[in-house]
Amino acid sequence: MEKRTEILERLNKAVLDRDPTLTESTAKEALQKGIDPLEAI
Amino acid sequence: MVEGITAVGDKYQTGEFFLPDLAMGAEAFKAGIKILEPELFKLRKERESVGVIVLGTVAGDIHSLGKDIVATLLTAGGFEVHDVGVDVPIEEFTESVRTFKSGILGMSALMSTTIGRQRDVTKALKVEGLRGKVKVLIGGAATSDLWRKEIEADGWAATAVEGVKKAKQLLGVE
Repeated sequence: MEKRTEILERLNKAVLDRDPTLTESTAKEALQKGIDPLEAI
Repeated sequence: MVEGITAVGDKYQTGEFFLPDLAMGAEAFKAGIKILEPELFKLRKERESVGVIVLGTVAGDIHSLGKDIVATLLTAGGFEVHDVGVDVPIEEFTESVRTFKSGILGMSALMSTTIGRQRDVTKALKVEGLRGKVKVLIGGAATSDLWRKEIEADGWAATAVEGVKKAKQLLGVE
C-alpha cells in the first residue's frame, strides 16, 4: 500500500503543478486512505 | 498542500512562474480545500474552540489567497474563524469584532497603497472602545514588523503558518 507520505507528496506536487483536477482527486484519495485532513492541508 | 502553494509563491517571487501560474496554483489549492475543509469542520466541531477570530482583507484590496490559506489553517488549528472577505470597510471590521466577540482581528493587506487601512481600523477599534478587548494581528506582502509597531498592532506574521502560531500566542494558548 502506498505510504501516507507518498500521497501527501503527490498532493503537494499537484498544487505545484497547478492542476486543480489532480489536486481534487488526490485530496479525495487522501481522505479515503484515512489521512487526517489537517495533515493533508 | 500549503507546501505546494508556498513553492508556487516562491517560484513566482523568483520569476520562474508568472501571474497565470500563481492563479492556477491558487485554483488547485482551492480545489483541494473544497474536498478537505468539510472534513476538517467535522473534526473541529468535536473539539473545543481555542478562540474566535475575525479575518478579512482591508478596503481597497481584493487579494484573497493568503487570507484564505490563513483562514483554513486557523480553522485547522481549532479557531472559530469568521472570514469577512475582501475589500472590507472599517465599520464592518469593528462591527464583526463586536458581533462575534472575537479575541483577535486579523487583517491582510497586500499593497503599500492599502496598508494604511490597517491603521485606520486599529484606530477605529480604539474609538469604539474595543481595542482593549481584541488583539490585532496583521499580515500581507506589504506589511512588516516595523509597520506593526507603527500602527500599534499586537502581532505580525510573514507567512500563513506563522499567522496561526502568532494567533495562539496572542491568546495565550501556546
